[in-house]
Amino acid sequence: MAALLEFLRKYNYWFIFILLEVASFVLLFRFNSYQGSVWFTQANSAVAKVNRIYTNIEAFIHLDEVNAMLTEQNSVLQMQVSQLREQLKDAKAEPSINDRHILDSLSGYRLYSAKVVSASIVKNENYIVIDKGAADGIKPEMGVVGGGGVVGIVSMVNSHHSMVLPIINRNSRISCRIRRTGYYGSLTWDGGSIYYANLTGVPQYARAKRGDAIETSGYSTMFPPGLFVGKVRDTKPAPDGLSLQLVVNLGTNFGNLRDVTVFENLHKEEVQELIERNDSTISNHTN
Amino acid sequence: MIQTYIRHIGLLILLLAMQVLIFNHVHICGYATPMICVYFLLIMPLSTPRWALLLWGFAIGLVQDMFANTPGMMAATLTLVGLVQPKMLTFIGGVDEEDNKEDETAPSIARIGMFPFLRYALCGILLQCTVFYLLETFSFFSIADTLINIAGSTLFSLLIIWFIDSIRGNN
Repeated sequence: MAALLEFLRKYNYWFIFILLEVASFVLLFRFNSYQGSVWFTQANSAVAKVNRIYTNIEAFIHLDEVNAMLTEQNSVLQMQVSQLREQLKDAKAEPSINDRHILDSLSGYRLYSAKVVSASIVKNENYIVIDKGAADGIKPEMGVVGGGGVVGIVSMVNSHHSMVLPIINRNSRISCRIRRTGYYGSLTWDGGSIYYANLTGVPQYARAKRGDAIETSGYSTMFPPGLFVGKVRDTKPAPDGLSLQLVVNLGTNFGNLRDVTVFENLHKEEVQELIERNDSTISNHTN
Repeated sequence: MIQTYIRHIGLLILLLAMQVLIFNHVHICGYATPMICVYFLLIMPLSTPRWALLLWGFAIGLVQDMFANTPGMMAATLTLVGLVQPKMLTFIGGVDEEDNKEDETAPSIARIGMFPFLRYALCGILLQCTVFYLLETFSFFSIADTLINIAGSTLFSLLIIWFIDSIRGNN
């Protein structure tokens, strides 16, 4: 402490010097337009750099909102398109086959846009949580689709959030088909890369080629038929030796999934009821 | 003692008057402008406290800035000169630091000799002109012009300070 005081006493003029120089430079930059402008622009270019980074971050944060808005808008537009198609069908005597096909595939489904709020992609039992729940009309076993393709199936709901069982979960099983030939199989995932899944149970005579598109078959009530899932990357015989196993390059990138659409099948109950009635008939017979 | 102070203050006012009324309007060939107020700092005796040198430098610079409308430039310059003045006096002026600690007489040609004083004054003036012109141009864009400014003003200032010191020495 004494040494410090001694130091301050001996070198106090340095502090005075710095103080006076700072005062001079403040005057210099404050009252001289030229030096002030040079200082201002130099300091500003540094500030501008920081500001640019900040703006980028801000834009990135807003991107989120923009994205959600676009997805929302997209699903609204999709519904609008389907409604308009319907009106068009009524207006036209003979709608084109293509129009009817699209209309058929979308009619009977209601779309909800949602945002992914939490996701795990590094485990074997991965999950995704979305920000829509029972209060918004989400029910279990609804199909979930993202911009790149099919994402998964709603497994649990609470009032404002839902848990989605994605394709990249070992318990996931989605009925899919090869778009070119129509042969179908079951899409499963056995851990490992989040970019690839397996289409199993495809007959060996289904000549699948690398690059063939895989889409939903529509055999389950969750997805309308024809939704893109991924592309065939590799074909190999299944371990059972009876069928073919296709390695599918998934269209959805689970690493950066943000906005998704949930599909509600409006006729699910009817289909379910038929299946249940059939099951009970069979069990009645066996009894 | 009091007389010395009064003479000092009188000299300072004279220097400032000459500077702001005459020399600030002199631009020989558009380059050399004498800056003579540094003389007041140069003749501060070694016994002057260093903080006093700094404050004098700042104050003189500030007054000069007010009249020349260059706020801060001269103040920054003369504060720096005030900081290094004692070191210049001992190393360049050849005045022994230990022997002259208590010395209260001002350095001058008569006191430390013609050549050491001019050497010492040249250094002080050169430092002043360099810092001042660098602050004034505030860029290295027209470095040649700046160097001519510095050299011209230094020589011209040195001549005038030599002249003033000679007059004072004869009195």
